[in-house]
Amino acid sequence: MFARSKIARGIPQCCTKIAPQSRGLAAQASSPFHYTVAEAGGVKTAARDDGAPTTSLAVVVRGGSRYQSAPGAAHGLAQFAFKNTEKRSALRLTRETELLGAQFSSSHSRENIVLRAKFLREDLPYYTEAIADVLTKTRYRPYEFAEEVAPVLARDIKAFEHSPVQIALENAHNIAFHNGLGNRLLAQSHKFLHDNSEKCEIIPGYAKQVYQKGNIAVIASGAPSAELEKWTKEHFADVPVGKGDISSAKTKYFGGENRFYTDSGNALVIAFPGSQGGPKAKAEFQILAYLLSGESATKWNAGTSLLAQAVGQHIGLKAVARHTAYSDAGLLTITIEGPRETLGKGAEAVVATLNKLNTVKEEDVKRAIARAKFDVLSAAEDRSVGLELVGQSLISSGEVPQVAATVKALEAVTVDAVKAAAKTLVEGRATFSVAGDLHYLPFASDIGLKC
Amino acid sequence: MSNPIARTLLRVPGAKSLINKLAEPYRNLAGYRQVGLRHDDLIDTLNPVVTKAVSRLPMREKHDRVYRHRRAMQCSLAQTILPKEEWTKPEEDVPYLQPYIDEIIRENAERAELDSLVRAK
Repeated sequence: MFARSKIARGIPQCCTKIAPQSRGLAAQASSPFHYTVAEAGGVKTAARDDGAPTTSLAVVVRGGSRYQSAPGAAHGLAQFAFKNTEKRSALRLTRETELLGAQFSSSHSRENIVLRAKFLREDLPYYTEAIADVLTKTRYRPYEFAEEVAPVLARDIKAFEHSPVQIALENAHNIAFHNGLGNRLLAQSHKFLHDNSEKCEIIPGYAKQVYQKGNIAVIASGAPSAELEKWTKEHFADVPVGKGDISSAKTKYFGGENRFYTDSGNALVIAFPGSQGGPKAKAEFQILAYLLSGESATKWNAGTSLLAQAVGQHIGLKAVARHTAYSDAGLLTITIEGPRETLGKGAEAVVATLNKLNTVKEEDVKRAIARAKFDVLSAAEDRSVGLELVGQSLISSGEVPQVAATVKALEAVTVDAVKAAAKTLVEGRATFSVAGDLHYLPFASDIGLKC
Repeated sequence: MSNPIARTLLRVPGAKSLINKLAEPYRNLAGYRQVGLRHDDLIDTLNPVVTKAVSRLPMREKHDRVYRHRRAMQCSLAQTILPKEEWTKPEEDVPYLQPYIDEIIRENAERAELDSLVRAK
């Protein structure tokens, strides 16, 4: 028989472990997205503590594909993270992470390289050290590139080459922005993998350029700021001082048309210049993307968004609008994929919808605002989704994005603002990119698009 | 140096210089330098560890190694040795493969150790 006192003693112990540490519930409810910004030994940190038992840690590095010194440098460097370091081997890190029940990963975007770890709250020192070691003590052995990194790059490239949507989006970025943001996100081709000795100078060279104190930010969700500062100060001391030896010219929008043959499917991207992210963002472009949307919020139907209605009569056709805000430019993309025979007709219907945006109804705009608000808030709530954006903003401006201000800007969007934004799109030069069976796929002039 | 007997021997004071004095003439007598090989060229590649080590060599080293092997093979077929100026010089006879082998042995040992790891608490 259990002694009653033993059980009674056990419960408060496990409760105290999970209970919020310093802040009360009421304080959290008032500012659930509040990040405490600090600087620890020259490295910018941001932390928020909701008292939950797990922590999500991200080190954001300004070094995505737009800044890369050679094609594939960002992709290669991101995949070289968490490999052998002078302190511990990749295998040891993996096995120890398994023992701690944690996860780590690395990824890159056009703007950033992000190193992430998710773990139980008490393992914060271990993972700040592990990620700091990645920045300062990775060995970058050529044979490691050949054995561990190159196969991953090859897999990513292969997956990309078999996705017509990805190809069309990539080409759309390239013709819209040319250099910088138009740089290819992934390594160029399998050829990147042949001469290992050369690549192994490119990757550590690029690491030296971007892994600098002023070019990174350490973000934690679910950890007290004081703790994060303390461990960052201790472990990131070896990171070289500097603001990053990188350059990317101010982004300019060009636009144009691109056609690419692939036998793995058919897709088509219509893109327009959008709005940059950060404090100067124009919310109406975001609302415009939600208004067009094409994605359904409910199950088993196409939804009532403008794009869903436009392509609804063509079976198997899907059109999705999305607005991507980068630090100094934005791109509003409409991706259409489906059977090659109907893709042209669908695109024509989409362009007709765009031309009719000047008659958009107020209730449709309201619905779009509501969905945009929901997405912004739920992304801010999520422990790992929003970290990259927080880091990016922290590196460039030293401030974290204010969710309340973003939501307020979304709420303030009027029907007239949306109509005005739509007008600039339709009258300006569009970007048109096609990937698939070119015999069947339309040209921009066929569907009434200016580019 | 992975051999435990060698390690113990080397700890004896003065042993290292004595062994080195004997080793150099021994290497010259062994005959591999006369056909242009290095000592690490003689390591048996049927061992998976060595195969992996060879695959990790830089491209240039790999090509040179194949060249030395072919030249030595040719000498063996012709029942001859190289002219004296083409013999491997002592300063060229560096252990270019052994560090890779040692590293793979370390990796394998670490893997074996970590595969049966338990959390100490």
